[in-house]
Amino acid sequence: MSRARRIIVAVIIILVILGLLPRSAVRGTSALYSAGTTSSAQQFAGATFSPSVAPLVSHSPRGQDEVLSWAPVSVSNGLTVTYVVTRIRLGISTVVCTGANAPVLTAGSMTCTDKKPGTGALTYTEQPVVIRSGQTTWSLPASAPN
Amino acid sequence: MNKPITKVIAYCGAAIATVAAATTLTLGSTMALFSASQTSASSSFTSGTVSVGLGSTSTTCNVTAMTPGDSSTNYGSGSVSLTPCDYKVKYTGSVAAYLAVDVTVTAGTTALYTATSSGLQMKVGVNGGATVMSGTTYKNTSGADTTLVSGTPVTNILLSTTPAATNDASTFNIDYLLPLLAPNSLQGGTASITLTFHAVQAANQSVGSCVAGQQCSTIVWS
Repeated sequence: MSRARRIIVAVIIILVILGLLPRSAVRGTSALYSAGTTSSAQQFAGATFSPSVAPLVSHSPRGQDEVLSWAPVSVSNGLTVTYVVTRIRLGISTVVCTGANAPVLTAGSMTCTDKKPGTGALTYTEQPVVIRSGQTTWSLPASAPN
Repeated sequence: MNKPITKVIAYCGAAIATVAAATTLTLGSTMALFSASQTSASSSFTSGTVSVGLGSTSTTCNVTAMTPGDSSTNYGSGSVSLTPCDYKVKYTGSVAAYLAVDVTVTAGTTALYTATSSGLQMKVGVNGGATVMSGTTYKNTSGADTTLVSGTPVTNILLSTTPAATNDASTFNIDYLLPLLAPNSLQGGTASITLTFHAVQAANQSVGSCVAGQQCSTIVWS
């Protein structure tokens, strides 16, 4: 290999090595003026239900009807909590206490009347839900049947 | 015959050299040369500064008890009833500088931000112009919408391709929404967002093909 060729090859090798250097290595040699400031953290938290477990439904007969009651549930931002009440009779679940029979707060308890539920063993559950813009949003799991 | 001639030449040379040296020494010490000098005015050098500071009072959010459907007034959907957050800063350096922002979203152990369309959504804009974050995404260096992952800072989102001057103010507006379809698993969840506003000298730097509102890696930021 001639001397000129050797020089050209050496130059090419040096250029390749320089090109392979990480950018950070190159940055380390530059001194740019810079500054920064960080904001306080903007905090967001979701609401919670209280209590966090849906209370059991108590019920007792009144004539042919069944009177239901349970402890109210609240949501931490004060929105209205709605309840989905379900009767379980002979293994069949039916939503009750709707419309004019919707649960109301009476003397610190939620109450409603299940009209003429029929005979036989009756159990009930209630599920607290939050409804926004006509849509069911957050809820608690339904209470255990009682 | 040749030898004596060579010797003569040598003696002559030595004699001439001796005389020349003596002359130089003698004359040099007695000569008066004309000369003059002039001193320039003092040249001073002062470095510029790159610095940032707070603008007018910012609104730091501490939004509690959010339920699905809650949103801030400028979000554009949801309840539009909650107070938006803002972060007001200004460039206080003496030399022109490029400005950028880093964004970090952090979800709590129970997450309110899930990096999906059903978790907390945030819109971060600057000066009513460039959008820094929209929902759960930001624009990367090539302008592609990229999901902002909780706990991973997104760095160097350029605010403007025009360098800022002293006292240029920037206001970051943060609007938010918890969508109606947020699942029950988000109850009691938490999230936070932190912005880092930073500047670097514009001199000897090129903005290249960077676009405002996108990450910019052409500029060396530190």
